Amino acid sequence: MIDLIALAIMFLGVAFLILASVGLIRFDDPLQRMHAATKAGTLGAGLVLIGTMVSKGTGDVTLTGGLTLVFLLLTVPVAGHLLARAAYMSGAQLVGVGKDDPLNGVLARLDVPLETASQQLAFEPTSSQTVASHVGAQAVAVEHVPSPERVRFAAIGNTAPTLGRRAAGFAARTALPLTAVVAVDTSYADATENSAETMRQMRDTVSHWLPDLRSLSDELGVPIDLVYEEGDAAAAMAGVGDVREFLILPIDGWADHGVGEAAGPSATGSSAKDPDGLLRVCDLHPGPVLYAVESQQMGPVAILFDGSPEVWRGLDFALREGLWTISDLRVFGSIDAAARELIETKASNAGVPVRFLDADLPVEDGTLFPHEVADGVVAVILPDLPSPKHIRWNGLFWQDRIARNWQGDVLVWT
Amino acid sequence: MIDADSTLVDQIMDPFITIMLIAVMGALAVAAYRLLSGPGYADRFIAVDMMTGLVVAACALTALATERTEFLDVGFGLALIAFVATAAFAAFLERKVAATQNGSGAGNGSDETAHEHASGASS
Repeated sequence: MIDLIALAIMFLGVAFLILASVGLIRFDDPLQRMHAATKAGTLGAGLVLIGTMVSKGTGDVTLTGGLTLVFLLLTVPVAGHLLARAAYMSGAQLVGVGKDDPLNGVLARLDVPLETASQQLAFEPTSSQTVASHVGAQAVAVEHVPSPERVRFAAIGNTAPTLGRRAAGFAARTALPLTAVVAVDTSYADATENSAETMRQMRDTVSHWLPDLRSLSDELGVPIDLVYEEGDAAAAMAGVGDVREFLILPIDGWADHGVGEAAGPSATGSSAKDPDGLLRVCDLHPGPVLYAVESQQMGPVAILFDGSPEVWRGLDFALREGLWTISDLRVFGSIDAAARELIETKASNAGVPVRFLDADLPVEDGTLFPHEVADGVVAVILPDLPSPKHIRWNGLFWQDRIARNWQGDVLVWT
Repeated sequence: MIDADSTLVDQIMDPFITIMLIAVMGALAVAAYRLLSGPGYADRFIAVDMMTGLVVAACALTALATERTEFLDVGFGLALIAFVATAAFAAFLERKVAATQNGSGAGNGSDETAHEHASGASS
């Protein structure tokens, strides 16, 4: 009888082990595989051990088996945690981690899987042919990038009316409907000592310039859809996640509308972090995002070219919609002949002179562009914002991490 | 436990244990496939982690099949070593990630932006 029970337990354990191995093969990414391997695997191994203990029933077997079981139960969660952390950091492809990754900015993560990254470093000089075909494939994909059908503009702080004028100008020129989002970050208010008072201050600030936004609509003859939302400000700014929506954000400020800054850092209390979520809005929004300065300028535009679809999309969008009056386009980054030709074609179609800059130009530590490229540039197109996506980090404004002492438009389409 | 009744049951059990051992070996083969095919470093080590669990189970089954309880000690040792191996691997992978991020950043400066630039220039 005892043997039968032992046999049943062991069969159950083996069944779990087989299921775990099936999960290991069939799941799509490391974390899911780990889910199968660690949970079902430990349960299976544990049940087989218990079955052995039951079947033998002697003291030494029970002791060794029990110790093994306890040890498995103690170590597998720890090992799993370490492994999962390493897998995340190594940039392994994770299904479902992308647009709203809660660890973004918390834990450093490689953009490309570690394997790919080290291969690129190792084989860089010989891979021009494969890169060319790769770029060709991307270019085909870029053709299908949808045109925007709506413009969304996040009104923040006192810059809202001036920036609103620019957004309205773009909407009027392209005849697209414009939505202005006025978001009030309640989580910031909750973090302050007197949240009711903070909420009142924020509403008060907003009400100061809200009429200006209204009159802008009449003045330019552009109907502006005003949306007022209290709550998750980043989600409110990003909207429903429509690729066909062009999002315009200011380069500074947050949905506390300057209240946090005026109150000083102490007002938020030691535990609350400074209101800072602006740069992560672009991760929530699937369409093009422009971090815009108040005045629209004409002049050179620089692009950080890495061959990624993001940067192609951004370039196409900027040229097609005539986002800026580009006096010359500066392409910086290692680029092969096929991509170079493609950019030249695109630029000449748009009537923009293009200049390719040497990818070996020295770049100051912690910036994206060398002085030669960034000098006089009014806007840049990036594959992604410099991470970590904090407005101020290491004492530098985030645009200083693009190029020192530089301010201007930043277009990203992640 | 070497009475007549128990040996009878043992005789019935033996083929079952053999079947279970074969099943565990099959699972080992499947995990080995994941170990060989990857695609990522993490996938490979998850497979290794899984395989040690399978081998511990196999040890327990072998201990039953051969009546040699020493195999359980083998399983215990393996479980100990597997944890150290996994922890060491995780540390190795994180160090490699840090090295890749700093790779073209020329020493100090910000890891993050250096990496941004590295990925920009290398693709």
